[in-house]
Amino acid sequence: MIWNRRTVLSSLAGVGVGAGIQSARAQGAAPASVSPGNRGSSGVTTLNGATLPYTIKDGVKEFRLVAQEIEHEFAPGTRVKAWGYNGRTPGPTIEVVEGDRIRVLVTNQLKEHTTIHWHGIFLPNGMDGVGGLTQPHINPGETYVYEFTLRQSGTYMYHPHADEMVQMAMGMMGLFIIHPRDGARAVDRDFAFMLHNWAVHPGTYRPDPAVMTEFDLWTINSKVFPAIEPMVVRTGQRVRIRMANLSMHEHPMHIHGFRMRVTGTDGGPIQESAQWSEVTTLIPVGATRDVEFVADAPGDWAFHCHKSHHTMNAMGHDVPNTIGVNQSDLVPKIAGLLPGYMPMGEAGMAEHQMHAGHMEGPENTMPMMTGIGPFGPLEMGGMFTLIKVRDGIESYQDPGAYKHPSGTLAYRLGGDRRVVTSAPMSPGMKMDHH
Amino acid sequence: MAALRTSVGARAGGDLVARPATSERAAAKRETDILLAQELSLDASLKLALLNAPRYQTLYAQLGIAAAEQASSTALTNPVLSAMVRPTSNPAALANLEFGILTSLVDLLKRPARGRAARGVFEAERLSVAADVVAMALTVRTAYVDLVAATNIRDVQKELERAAAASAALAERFHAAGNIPMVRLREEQAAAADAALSLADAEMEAIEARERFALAVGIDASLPWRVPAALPAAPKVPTPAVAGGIEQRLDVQASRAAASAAIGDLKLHSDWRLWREVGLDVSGERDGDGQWAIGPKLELALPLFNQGRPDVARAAAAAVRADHQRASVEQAAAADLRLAQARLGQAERRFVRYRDEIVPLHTEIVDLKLQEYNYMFVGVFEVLTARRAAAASEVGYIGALRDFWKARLGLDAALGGGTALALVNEDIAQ
Ligand SMILES: [Cu+2]
Repeated sequence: MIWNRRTVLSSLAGVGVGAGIQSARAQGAAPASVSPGNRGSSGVTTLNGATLPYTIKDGVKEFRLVAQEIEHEFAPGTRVKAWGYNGRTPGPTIEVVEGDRIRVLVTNQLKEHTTIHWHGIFLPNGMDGVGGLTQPHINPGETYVYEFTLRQSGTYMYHPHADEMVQMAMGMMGLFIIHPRDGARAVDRDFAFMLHNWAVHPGTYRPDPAVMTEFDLWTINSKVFPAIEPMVVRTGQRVRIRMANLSMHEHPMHIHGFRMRVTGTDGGPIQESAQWSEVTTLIPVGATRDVEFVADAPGDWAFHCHKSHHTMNAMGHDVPNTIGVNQSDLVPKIAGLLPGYMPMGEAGMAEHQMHAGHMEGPENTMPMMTGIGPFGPLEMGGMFTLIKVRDGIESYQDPGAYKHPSGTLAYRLGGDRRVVTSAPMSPGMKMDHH
Repeated sequence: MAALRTSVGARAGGDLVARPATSERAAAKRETDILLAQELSLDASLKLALLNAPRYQTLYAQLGIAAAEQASSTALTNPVLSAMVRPTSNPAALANLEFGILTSLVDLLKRPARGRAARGVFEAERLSVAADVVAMALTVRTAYVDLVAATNIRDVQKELERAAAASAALAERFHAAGNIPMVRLREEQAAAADAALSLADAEMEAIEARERFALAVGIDASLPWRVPAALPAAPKVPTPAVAGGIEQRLDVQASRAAASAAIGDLKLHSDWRLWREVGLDVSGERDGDGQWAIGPKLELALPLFNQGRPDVARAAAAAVRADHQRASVEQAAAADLRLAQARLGQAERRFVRYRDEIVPLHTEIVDLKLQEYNYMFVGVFEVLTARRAAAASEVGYIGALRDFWKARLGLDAALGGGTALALVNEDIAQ
């Protein structure tokens, strides 16, 4: 309720929040630096991403965003001409502290106009970035200045509000994270990512913005498994995962091995008594969720969208079902007409990952399922990554495959119960971080 | 006759030899058997036709008749011998004898001119027969091209039918597994039935083409002779330039010869209009006393009543008509030539588009579809549909190639069927 919010804001201002900001500005004092979301580290870890640097001018944190066409790789094998900010999609994460006054200079290097809307953030109406409604469009070559003071904390977003359907489908989006002023709610590891969907049809090199439901790629920070960075955590650390969704679908994000407390939405932090636990958190469209858990169990834990088609890479959704179709005796006939034809899918589709390795697919297209783990193919793609929890690690570099303690691994009945320790990962499992 | 044979034979692209004698028939049979034992080339087909086709023999006989007519037309009228015996009542006297050799002086004097006219007539006939031979060579060649193309199309239709049948067989499996509805199965089966029918049509067309070719060549279609699987893909030599234009055309030459013969005829009639009957007589007479008197005698028809005008008028009219016919033939020939050139140009562009674009595109589409199938973007039916489209494009290509060769042969014929045909022979024989 907007009236409520205004009422609250004005009452807050009345008790000095607004006044405090005013005074800080008047005194020219530097606003508090980014409060460490990661205890002892520099803040939020944007998977496969970066935090936008700033300069301070007259006590104002000044950021620069350049909207532009970029070359983007979802994973080795699929590259596109996307649109983003400062050379990437999502654009760099803006990370600030409640109470900061910020100025964002937005330069448009696209061939059409744009704007930036600061999604979920309290600001003067004229800073809201809705092209045509609250501001003129930023034409190609122009730079617009947004300036406002942050009066809240939490996980928010930025995205265009001009030709929005196209520009978001092309990859224009970014995270806007406001840490609490007082360093409250700090965690050891603070991860952030945006969920998105892309229509990159097989054999094409540019997202198709006209698609409404049948997307090809489901991404975490515009990457697909196995190119999504794992979240590396030391056993016992408190972990936050901030998830934001600007795609056309909602995503039930599922954690293995832990339960997540939902500690925040795009309405801000949820007070402790109102938080709840679950293993699958639905991230609605146009919304953000913060979840937290203590990583008290070492291992390689899967973390993924639970819509199983969202953990696939591009595939057809209108193909005849091959399960249970025995065509072995027809193969010679068909192969005579189509050299190289291989019947697939009689037993299921798992064999696709094996075949994809030695069969040619469409250009610029990854196999629909991929990734090789220590025990075999993962048969995953899209919105799938890992939380790698390890005892006593000092570095957050990918520690490799988890070594299972004796007696903690499922075994084949009648088979050898010796522990199978991590076989070397094949290149398919290697993370390619950009 | 030797010159005639060479002329017609060269234009038709073969050796035109009449083989009426039994021994020669046996030789022809031997030669035919040798040719039929190998895969038939275009050249061999023509040789076969010259050896076997009754129509060639008919034309050849026609030439013989024309030659005989020429010979008879220049022969002189035989002189007339007259003899008379007049017995006398006087026993002492000898019978009065009289004889004379009368020959037509006009005939004698007109002989060179008449010879020229006859040669003109013969020349016209010769050219007309040659044109017929060239046209028949074109028929044989066209039938050959049609036959090879029809056989090739039948083979590709066989592939098409196999693809459709495989698709239907697969659909049965999918349906039996409970994965596609009856309507999808029926669609595949209907497509397969259509493809089977198209194959049957193509098979019939190949049979008909074989019969047509065999008939044109004069051989038995049921004998196990065979032709190449496909027409040559690309001409080795560029399309012949149309420098000579209609000058080389036999019909043009024939009409010109006919026109000049008609003028010769007119000249003959008008030169000798007044001297229709001039007799030169050598006569002798023996009197009763045994004395011979021998002397020449000239007989002259006085052109008082018939001055030969109707004959001259008729010849003049014939000359005018022949000239009009010549002009008309030249006009038609020029149009025919232009059209043949245009047809060849169009056929070539069509064929090249099939060869360089349509067929390679469809081949690539099948590859790309298979790639999509490999990564599960499309099902096998879609790939097989693409394969059928590729086969259909191949049918289109073969048709375009056939039409190209026919247009090429058509232009050669329009040019007179001479040198160009020889070039085509080389191409097709390779
Ligand atoms: Cu999802």
